[in-house]
Amino acid sequence: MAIDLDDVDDARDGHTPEIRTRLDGWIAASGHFFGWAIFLAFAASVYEVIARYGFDRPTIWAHESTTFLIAVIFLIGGPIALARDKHIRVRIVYDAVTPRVRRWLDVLNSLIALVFLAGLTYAGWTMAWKATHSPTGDLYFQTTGTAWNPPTPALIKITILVCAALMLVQTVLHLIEALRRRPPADTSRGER
Amino acid sequence: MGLSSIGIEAGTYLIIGAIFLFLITGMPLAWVTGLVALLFTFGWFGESALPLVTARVYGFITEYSLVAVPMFIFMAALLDRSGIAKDLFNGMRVLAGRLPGGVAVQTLIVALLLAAMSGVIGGEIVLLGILALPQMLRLGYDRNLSIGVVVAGGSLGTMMPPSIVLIIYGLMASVSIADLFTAAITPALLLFGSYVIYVLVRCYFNPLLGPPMSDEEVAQESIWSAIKALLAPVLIVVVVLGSIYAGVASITEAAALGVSSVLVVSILRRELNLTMLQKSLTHTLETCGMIIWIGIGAAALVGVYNLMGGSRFVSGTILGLDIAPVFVIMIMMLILLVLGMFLDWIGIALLTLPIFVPIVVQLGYDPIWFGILFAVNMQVSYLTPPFGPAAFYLKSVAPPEITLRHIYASVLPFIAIQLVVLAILLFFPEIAIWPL
Repeated sequence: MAIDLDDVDDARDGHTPEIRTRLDGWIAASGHFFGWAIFLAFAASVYEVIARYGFDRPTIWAHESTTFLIAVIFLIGGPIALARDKHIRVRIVYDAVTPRVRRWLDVLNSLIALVFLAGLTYAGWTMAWKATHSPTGDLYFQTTGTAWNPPTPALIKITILVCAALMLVQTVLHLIEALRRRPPADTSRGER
Repeated sequence: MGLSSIGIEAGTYLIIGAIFLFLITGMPLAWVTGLVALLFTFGWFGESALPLVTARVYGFITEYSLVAVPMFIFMAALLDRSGIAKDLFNGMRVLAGRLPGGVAVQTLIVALLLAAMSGVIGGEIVLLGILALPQMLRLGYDRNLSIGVVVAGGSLGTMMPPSIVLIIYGLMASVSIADLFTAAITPALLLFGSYVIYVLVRCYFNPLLGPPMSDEEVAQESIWSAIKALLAPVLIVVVVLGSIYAGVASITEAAALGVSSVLVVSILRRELNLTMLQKSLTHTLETCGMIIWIGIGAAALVGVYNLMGGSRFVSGTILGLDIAPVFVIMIMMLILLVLGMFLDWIGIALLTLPIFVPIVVQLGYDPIWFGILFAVNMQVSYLTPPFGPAAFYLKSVAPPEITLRHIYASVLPFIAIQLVVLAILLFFPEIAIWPL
């Protein structure tokens, strides 16, 4: 097939994303690895159906492990979409202004996003701490409390913290990039 | 203490104002809702309440039904990269025949089949834009009609099961997703039928809009090529929808079975390779990150808003209006349509449904029926300027002389059709809920 559909989402946004910092580059590249977790979750779901109907032996782990894998995928998708500037936004003003104004919008956006991500990281820290420590302060991983009883709640809560902190760092770097950026001399406007 | 002294009414306006203020600066929607959620949690309840926001995040992402979303996106990503759609379109050429507007009808039929195969739109519009639009333009079809057919047909995926719009609705409204899928079929066919009738009527009165194919082109087509091209799509539809309707598998498992059927078909077609698989998985991951973080922000915001007493405030205000219940539904439709011009469907779903659905139920309406109205609304939102995603999808593959302005002008009659269908469904709920 000659059709390349990898720009479907770029098409929706009307622009091709650019990688802004080196960290963004690494995070975007890690997506090729983490994407396979979706394949694992898919395989587990199919295995469960076959085990249930083919052999009348439903598994105790398929349901929980797919939920876990996909929850982690959802979270990791945040930093990756941020790295590739894929998060949906209203671009009507952003695209209409000159590069100079756009640079200031980038600074403003990064500052506001910092507030959000700092709050999220703080709240994520509190939650992750509770999920990994018993009331007496000993290390203890919160589990689902089912027959299989995996420690996935603790792992997911740690992932929330890691992803929030990662996006915080990404945004700090975006802010620095926007502040350092010398706006181009010409006044060419955002082309669609 | 703090912000809570301003009261819930002023708080509501402040939230709405803050959302629009932040949105207009070009901030990602996911951050806007999340930030407003955090600010209000902090301002209203104090610092100790902040973990409530992450607790909402945790609750949202560990919903089992949500696992179906990446599965369906993965399935659509594989489908888009295989040649199944191309063969389907070419095979269906026999349907076009000598009929004025025939290729447009053929495009709509292919669009309906693609919609029944996957629950994600975007790829569909791009595919139809690549396959059908050049064909229609080459045959001398009216440009606006051709564009409208591609965009409207390609958006049928929001209605046609297995639609992820309906999956999210089922999750938010706590209703059976299988029931939603059952109820959506007749309205989806009604929309499809209306598009077909619109095309045929316009081309009947003015055949220049859709000139028929020449005799030698018609002679090349055979009914066998059509049947052959239908085999794989029908198999995939039967696997996904069949296992849901038969009650054999959960939505998530049905989606996983759908992925396997696409994989099997791709292997048989000798199209499957590691690059295709890798690209599909990476695409799915990114799309999930995009959709789910909007959901995370919105889920946190609506959670905080309800704690502030917002849900009680809104339902108290609406129910206290002393107007006929049907007007309440109409007001909700209007709000959804306006939001649809600016926000993404998942943001709208997560922000409005936790507030709207309890009111709908309290008024004595069927939440399944409201879900169908919601899906039609979201289909309209895909087309309406200034942020109809469908227009941007098509723009990326359309010939360069077609501008966004042309696309928006072309979809207007189709938006009108959607609104008429919405009104019909509003006044005749049986059209949706009769099979239940």
